[in-house]
Amino acid sequence: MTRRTIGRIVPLLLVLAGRAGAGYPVQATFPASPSAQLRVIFGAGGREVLLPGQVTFVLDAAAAGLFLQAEAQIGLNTEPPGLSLPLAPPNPLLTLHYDPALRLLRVVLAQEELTTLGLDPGDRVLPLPFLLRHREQFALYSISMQGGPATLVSLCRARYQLRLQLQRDYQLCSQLAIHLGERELSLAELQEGIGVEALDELADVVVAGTDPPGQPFVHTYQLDHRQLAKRVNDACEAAMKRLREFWRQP
Amino acid sequence: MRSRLVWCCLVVTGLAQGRDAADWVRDLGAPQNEVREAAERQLVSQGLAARQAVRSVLKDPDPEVRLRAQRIWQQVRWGLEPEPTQALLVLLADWRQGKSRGVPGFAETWGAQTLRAIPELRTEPDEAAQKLAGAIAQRICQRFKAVDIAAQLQAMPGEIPLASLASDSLTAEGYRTLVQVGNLLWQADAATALGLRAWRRWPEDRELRQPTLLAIRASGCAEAIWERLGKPVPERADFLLLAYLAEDTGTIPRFAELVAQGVPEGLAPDELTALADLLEQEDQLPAAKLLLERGDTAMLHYRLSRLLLCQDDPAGAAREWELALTKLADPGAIYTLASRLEQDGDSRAEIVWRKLLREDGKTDVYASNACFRLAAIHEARADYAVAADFYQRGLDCMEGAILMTVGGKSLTHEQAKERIAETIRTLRAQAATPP
Repeated sequence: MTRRTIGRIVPLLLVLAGRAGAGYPVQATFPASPSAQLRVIFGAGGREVLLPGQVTFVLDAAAAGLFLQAEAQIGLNTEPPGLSLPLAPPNPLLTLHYDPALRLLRVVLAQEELTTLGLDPGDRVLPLPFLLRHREQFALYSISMQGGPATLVSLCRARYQLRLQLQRDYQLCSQLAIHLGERELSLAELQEGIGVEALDELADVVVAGTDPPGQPFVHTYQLDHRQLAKRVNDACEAAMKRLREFWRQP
Repeated sequence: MRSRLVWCCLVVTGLAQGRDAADWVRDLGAPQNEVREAAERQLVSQGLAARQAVRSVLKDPDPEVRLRAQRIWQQVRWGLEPEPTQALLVLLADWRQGKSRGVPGFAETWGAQTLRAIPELRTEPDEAAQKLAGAIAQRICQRFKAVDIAAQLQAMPGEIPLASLASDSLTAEGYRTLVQVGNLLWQADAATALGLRAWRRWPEDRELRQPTLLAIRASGCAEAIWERLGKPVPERADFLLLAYLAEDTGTIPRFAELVAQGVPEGLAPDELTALADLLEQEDQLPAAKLLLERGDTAMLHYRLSRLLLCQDDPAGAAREWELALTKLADPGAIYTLASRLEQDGDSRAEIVWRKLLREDGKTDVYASNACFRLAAIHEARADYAVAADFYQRGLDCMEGAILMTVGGKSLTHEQAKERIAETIRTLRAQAATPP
C-alpha cells in the first residue's frame, strides 16, 4: 500500500468513524446571569448577609463597618474591562473631588478628569460617607460639603464567587470539558462556585462532553458581567439599608 | 494447508459469535429441530441481551416459535444475566411461600443491576412479588449511593423505567436516591415524576428539595407546575414546592402574590420561618409578615417583632416581643431563640439566656451553656469579674462533656475544662487591675 493510498483511506475512515459514532453534539444555551447565585466575599469573610437578587455578602468587620456608614454609592467600570485602577494610598491612581458650586463629584485619574457625577446633598453640612466600587476594591470616602478632594476612610477588597444554576447533573458524563472563556474549570468548581477577582473576568461557561446515554452535547451558560454588576449594585444599596436596620436595637 | 484450516475455523467462529439475538430468534422457526433447540439454548444463555428480541416474538403466529419464546421469556424477562436470574427466581419462590428474607444478600451480591428486575416483578399479579419488588428497590437505594447505582445502570443496555421502581414501601431516602439517579442518567421526566410524588409525601424532607428542583429545571416543566398548582391557597406540600420553585427561578414576587391570596393550614413553625426568610431576602416584607403571623411560637413572634421594627412600627414590635417571652416554655425553645438573638446582634439575647439559669445548683446542659454565653457577653463589655463568675458557674453546673474546638482542633473534656479555668484566672487578674 503506497503512502498515497493511505492518504486517501485515512480521511475516508475518519468520515466513516464520525458517521458510525453518536453524531453531532446537541447544543443548548441557557441564560445564566439572572439565576446565578453570587457571593461577594470581603477579606477572610465572616457574617453572611442575604440580599435581594440571590446575592450574598460575606462581610468581615471592616466591610460591615463600611456598608454601615456609607450613605451613597457608585460602581465604576473601565473600558476595556479587566483594568484595575488602584485606589490605595500613598499613590492612588483614582481620586474623588467634590465641587460644591456645580454640585459635581469628579472622578480623577492621575490628574485627568475621568467622569463626573451629579451630587446634590441638599442642606447637608456634615461630610458625606460615599462608597466607590471598582472591580475588587470597595472604598469609603468622606466627601466634605465644602468641596475639595475626598478623604479615603476605608478600603476593602472582595472576591466574587458565582454559582450557576446547573441545568443537568454532569457527574456521569464522559469527556467533560468545562471552560470559562479560555480558563479551564473543574466539575467541582462548576458545582460549588467559580471564583473570580472581578466580575468583568466572567464570560460564557461552556460545558461539553458526552451525556450518560452517549450523545455528545455542548451547553453554553450565558453570562453577562454587566447584568451581574447591576445585581451587585442593587445588593450594595440593600446591604447599606439592611445593616442599618440590623444594628438598630429595639 | 494447516494455517489455512486455522483461518477457516477463526472465520467460522467469528461468524457464530457475530450472530445477534435477532438471528437466534429467527432460528426458533427453523425446519431442523436441532437448530431450534440450539437457538433456544443460545437465547437463554444470552439473558439480558436477548430480552428485546424474544419479546418481539411472544405473539408469533407460529405456535412452536410462540411456545419456545414464552419459555425463554420466563428466563430473560427479568433483564438480568442468567446467574442473578436464577437467584431472583429462588428468592421469588421463597417470598411466595411467605419466607420474606434474603433480599439483603441478593442485593449485596448482585448490586444495582437487580433494579432491572423490578418492572417485571411489578407485572406479577401476586402481592408477594410486589412486596419483593419494593424490598429490592428499598435495599438497593439504602445500600448504594445514587452515583454508584446510576453508573451500574448506565453500563447496561437499554433504559430502565425509573418510575416503575417507586412503590409505597419506598422510604423518603429511597425516593431521594431514585430522583438523583434519574438526574445522573439525564432521565429528567422520570426524575421529575418521582420527585413530585415524593414531595407530596415528604414536603419537609430538605434533602429532596435540590434533586427535585434540578429535575424540574432539566425537564423544563416549572411553568406548567406553576399553572397547575398556583391556585389560591394550595395544599401545604404544593405551597412549599411553589415557594422553592420561585426561589429557584428567581420569581419570589410571584410567590409573594400567592401568599397574599392565602396561606394553607398545617405549615410547621420552622417552615413558616424558612419561607419568611425567602421573602425577606427579596424585600417582600408584607408577604413575610403574613406568614409570621400564622404561627404562635417564641421564634415567630420575635421574627415578627424585628420585621415590624424595620417597618417603623415600634409599638407592634414591642407587643410581639412581649408575646415571644410568654411562649418560652421549654429550654430548647429558649436556647434556640437566644442563639438567634445573638446571631442577629440583638442585645436582648442576654435576657433570654438568663431564663436558662438555674438556682437549685443542679447540673443542666442548657444552664451551663447559658452561663458560658453570658460570660462571653460580659467579657465583651469588659465586666471581667462578672464574666469570670459566669464561667465558673457554667463549669459547676456542666452536664456531660464539654465540646470545644480551638483553631479547628477539638479539645478533650479535661483540656476544655483547663482552658476555661485558665480564662477565669485571666479574667480575675484583669478585674483586679485598675483601669
